Amino acid sequence: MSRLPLTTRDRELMLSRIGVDRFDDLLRPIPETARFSGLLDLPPSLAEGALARHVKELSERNVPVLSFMGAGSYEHFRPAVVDYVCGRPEFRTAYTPYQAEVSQGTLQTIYEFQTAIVELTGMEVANASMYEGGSAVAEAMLMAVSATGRSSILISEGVHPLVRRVVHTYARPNGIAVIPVPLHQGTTPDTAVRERAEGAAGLIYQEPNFFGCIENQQRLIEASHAAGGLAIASVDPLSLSVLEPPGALGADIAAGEGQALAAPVSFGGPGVGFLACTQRLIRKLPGRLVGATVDGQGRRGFVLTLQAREQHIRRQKATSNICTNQALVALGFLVTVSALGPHGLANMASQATQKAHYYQHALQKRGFPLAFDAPFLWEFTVRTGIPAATYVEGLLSRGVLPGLDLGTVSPDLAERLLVYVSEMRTREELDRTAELMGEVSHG
Amino acid sequence: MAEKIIYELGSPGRQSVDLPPLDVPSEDAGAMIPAGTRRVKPPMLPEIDELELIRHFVRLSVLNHHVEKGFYPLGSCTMKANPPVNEVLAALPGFALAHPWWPARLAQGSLRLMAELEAMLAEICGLSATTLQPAAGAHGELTGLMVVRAYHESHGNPRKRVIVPDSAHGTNPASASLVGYEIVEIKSDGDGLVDLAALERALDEDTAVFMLTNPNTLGLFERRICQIQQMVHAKGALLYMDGANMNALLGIVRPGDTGFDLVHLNLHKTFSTPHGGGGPGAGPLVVAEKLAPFLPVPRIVQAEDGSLRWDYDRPQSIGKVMTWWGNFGVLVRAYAYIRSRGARGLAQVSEAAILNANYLLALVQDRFDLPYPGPCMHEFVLSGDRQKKRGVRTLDMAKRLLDKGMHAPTIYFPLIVSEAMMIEPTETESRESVEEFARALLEVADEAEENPEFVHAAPHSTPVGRLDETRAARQPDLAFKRPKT
Repeated sequence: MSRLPLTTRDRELMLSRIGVDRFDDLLRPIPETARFSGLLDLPPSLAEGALARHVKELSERNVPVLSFMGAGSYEHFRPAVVDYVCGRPEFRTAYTPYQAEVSQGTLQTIYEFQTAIVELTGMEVANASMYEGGSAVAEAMLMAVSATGRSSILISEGVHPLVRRVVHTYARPNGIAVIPVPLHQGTTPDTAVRERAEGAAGLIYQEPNFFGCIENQQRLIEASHAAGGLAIASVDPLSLSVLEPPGALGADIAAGEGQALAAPVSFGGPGVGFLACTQRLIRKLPGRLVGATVDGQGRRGFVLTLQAREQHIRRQKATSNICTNQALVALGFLVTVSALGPHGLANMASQATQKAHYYQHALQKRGFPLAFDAPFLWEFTVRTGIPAATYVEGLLSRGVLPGLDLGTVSPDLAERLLVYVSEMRTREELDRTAELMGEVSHG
Repeated sequence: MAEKIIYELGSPGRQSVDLPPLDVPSEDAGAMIPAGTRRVKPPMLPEIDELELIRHFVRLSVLNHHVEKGFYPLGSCTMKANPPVNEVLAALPGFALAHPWWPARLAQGSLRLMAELEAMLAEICGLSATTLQPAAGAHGELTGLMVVRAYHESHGNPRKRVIVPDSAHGTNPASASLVGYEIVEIKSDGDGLVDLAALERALDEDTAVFMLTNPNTLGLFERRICQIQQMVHAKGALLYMDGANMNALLGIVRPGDTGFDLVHLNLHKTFSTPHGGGGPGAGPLVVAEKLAPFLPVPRIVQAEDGSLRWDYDRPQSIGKVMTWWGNFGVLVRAYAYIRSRGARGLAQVSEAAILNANYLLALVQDRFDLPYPGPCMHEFVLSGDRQKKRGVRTLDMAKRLLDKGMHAPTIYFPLIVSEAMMIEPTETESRESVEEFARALLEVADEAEENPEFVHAAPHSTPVGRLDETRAARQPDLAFKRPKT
C-alpha cells in the first residue's frame, strides 16, 4: 500500500505541540462504550504488487464475449484522446468548483458540456450532469409534477424497464401515480396517450425506445400537450446526430444516459446522466449549472450559478438534493463529441445503423423476422420462434452473446431477442454470428 | 488571455479522429430513417484537430487547483490522495468491458468484487447489509430515507417527520423532503452538540428518523451518542448517520455499535476515489439487519455452488434508485483501497487524519476565534469574526489563500458558526505541508490586520479575479451560442 507520511518522530513532535502525551488523549470526547476495541475483521492488507495481481485475477473471472447486447449500455468506438484527457490529475483530483478563481478548467469544461447537450437535444438549457439516465428521467418526472401541480405521470412501456423501475421508486414516496402506456406494434400510440393524459403532469417516452423502434415523437408530444401535460424525452445522445432532437419537436424536457459517448460499459457505471429543458422550466431544474460572466477586469470567466435552486442554499425547499454528479464522465462525453465532431458522430451513427440493417437482413434470411415493423437504428427486436434463451446458451458456448433474451425482462417476451450492433462489429463478425444463429435453429 | 471556448476553436471540415470505412454494403439512408424523423439541422459541435483539442483541455486543466498540485483543506470533503494503482485497476479490460446485463456467470469477477466490498463496508460500519447502488452521498441519503419510509410503512405508518440538527449538511433536509417528509430542525447546544432537551421536545411517535452527522460538521464527536440512540429508539424512530465524516472513525468507532441503524458512506471521500471535479462518486448505504429487506433490488446472493447471482425477489424492497448496479468503476477503486490498507491500515488512516487536524488547530487557534474548542476529530471550524471587525471577511481570507497556492477551506458552513472556515487536512498530508498551510493562514491573519484592503481585493494572482456572480445569475449565459455571421 502507499504509506502515510507521518513518521514516529512527526507524531511525537505534533503531540507535543498539541499539548497531549498520547494520541489517545485526543480521543477523549469518545465515550469508552462507543469505542471499537478490536480489530476490524477484514482481509489482510496487500502490498501494491500483490493487490494489482489479486484485482487483475478478479477481473479475469469475467468472461469476455463478442457482444450484441445493448439495452441501455452501449459499447462504441472510444477515441484514445478521451481517457488521455480525463486522466489528467488537474481534472481527476479536483472537486466541485466552489472557488471559481482556481477552478476555471472544470467550470469551462462543464459550460462546454452543457452546450453540447443543448446542441444535441435541441433544448434551451442543460445542467452540469446527473448521476445516470434512470435517475435523470426520475428527476425530470419530479420537475413535471412540480411545474404542473399535477400528481400523476404517464410512462410509455417503450421506456427501458429498469428506468421505469427507478421512476416508480422516486414516485412512490411522493404519492405520484405512474400510469403505463402500452405499446402497439412496438411503438407508443398517441391515441393511447390521449386516452390517459387527462390530469397527468406529462408523458415520458424513450427515443428510440427500448425495443429499438423509432417513435413518432411529434405526435406523442402533441398528445401530452393537448391535455396540458409536459413531454419528457429519454434519448440516446448518439441518435441525436441523425434523429430530429426532442427540442426541435417541442418537448419540454430531455433526459438520458450519455455513457455511449463517454465511458466504457463498465458493468453499468460510472456513466453520465444529462437533463435539459426549456427556458421556462429553468427554476425547476435540479443540479449544478455553470454560467459565463466576467471578473473585475472584464475577463470572461465561469461560475456555478442560479444556486438558489440547490440544497446548500434552499435546504428542504431545494429542487433536488443532488450535488456531486458525474463531472469527470461529463468531460469524457465532451471530449468524445469534440474529437468526432458533428460529421464523425453522424458517421458513427450511420455506420452502426448500416451494420444493424445488414445484420438484420442476414438474420431475416435465416428465419429470424423483425418483431416490429417500425424503423430502427442500431438496435432491433427479432422473433426467435423458440425461447431466445436457447440461442443465448447456444452461442455463448462459442464465445458470442447474441443479444438480450427479452424473456429475462418479461416472461411473455421469451421468444424475442433484442439485438444491438455497434459500428465496431466487422462484417466478418456479423456473417459468422448470423451463421451461428442459423446453426442453432437447425441443430 | 482567457482560453477560448472549444466551439470558437477549429474550423469547418476538421476532425480529430476518424472511423474505418464502412465494410458492409450501404443502404439508402432515407429508407432506414424516414423523413420527418431525420435530423434537419446538424448540432453545432466542435470541428477541431486532435492536437488543438488536446492543447485546449491541457490549457484549461492547468487553471484548476487539485489535490495533486497542492493543499486542499476543503472541510467535509476529505480531499485525500488518490492512489495511482487504483486508476490502473479500475481500467482493467475485464471490468471495463463487462456489460451490466450479462448473464451472471459471465460476470463472476465483478459480482465477487461487489459482494466482498459490501461485506467489508458492513464490517467497517458494524452493520449487516450494504447496497452499492447509490451514485453519490446525497443519493445514498435519498435511498436511506426511502428505506426508512418503507420500514415504517411495514409497521403500518410511514410517520411524518425527520429531525436534523441545525449543523446538518443541506442535503439532509433536501433528501428528506424528496421522500415526502417534513423537516424539524433542532438547535445545537453551547458545545456544538445535539441538545438533548431540544431533541426530546422534537421526538414523538411521528418522528421517522433522526439524521445525524458524526463526527458532526464542527468536527466534534457526539459524545452523548448512547443517550441519543436510546431516546430515538424509545419512540420507535430510526437513527441515521450521514457518513461524510467517516474518515475520523475507521477502526475507532463503528456506527452500528453506537446505535445507528443506517449509514451512507462517500467512497470519494473516505475511501480515496478521485473527486473528478464533482463526481463520479459513490454513496453506498449500509444498514442494520432489520432494514435489509427494504434495500434496492437486485441483491447479490450466493448459490449453493458458490457462484453469485442477482436476486430480485425482495417484495419489501424500495425498488431501484439507479438503472444499473452502481458506479462500478468507483467501487473497484474503493475495494482496492480497503484491500491495500487492511484493518490496521484503516485505523492508522483515521488516527493520522485526527492528528493532522489537531496539529493544524494547535498551530493556528490563537489567531482566530474558535467557537467550539477541541480536541477535534478529523476537521475543525474556525470563525473569522475577529477579522471581520477589521473589515476582512472569511470570503476575503479564502480568496487570499488561493494566491498562496492553497485551496480555501469550506466557508460559511456549518451555518451555526458566523464567518465559518471548516478545515480538513486529511491523513495524506505530511507534517511539513500542514505547517506550510498554517503559515499561509497566519500570514493572511497578519495581512488582515495590516492591510485589510489588500486582502479584501484578493485574489491577485489567480487566472481570473473575483467573478461577477450577480451578473451570472441575472443574465444567465449557460451555453455557448455562435454569433450570427
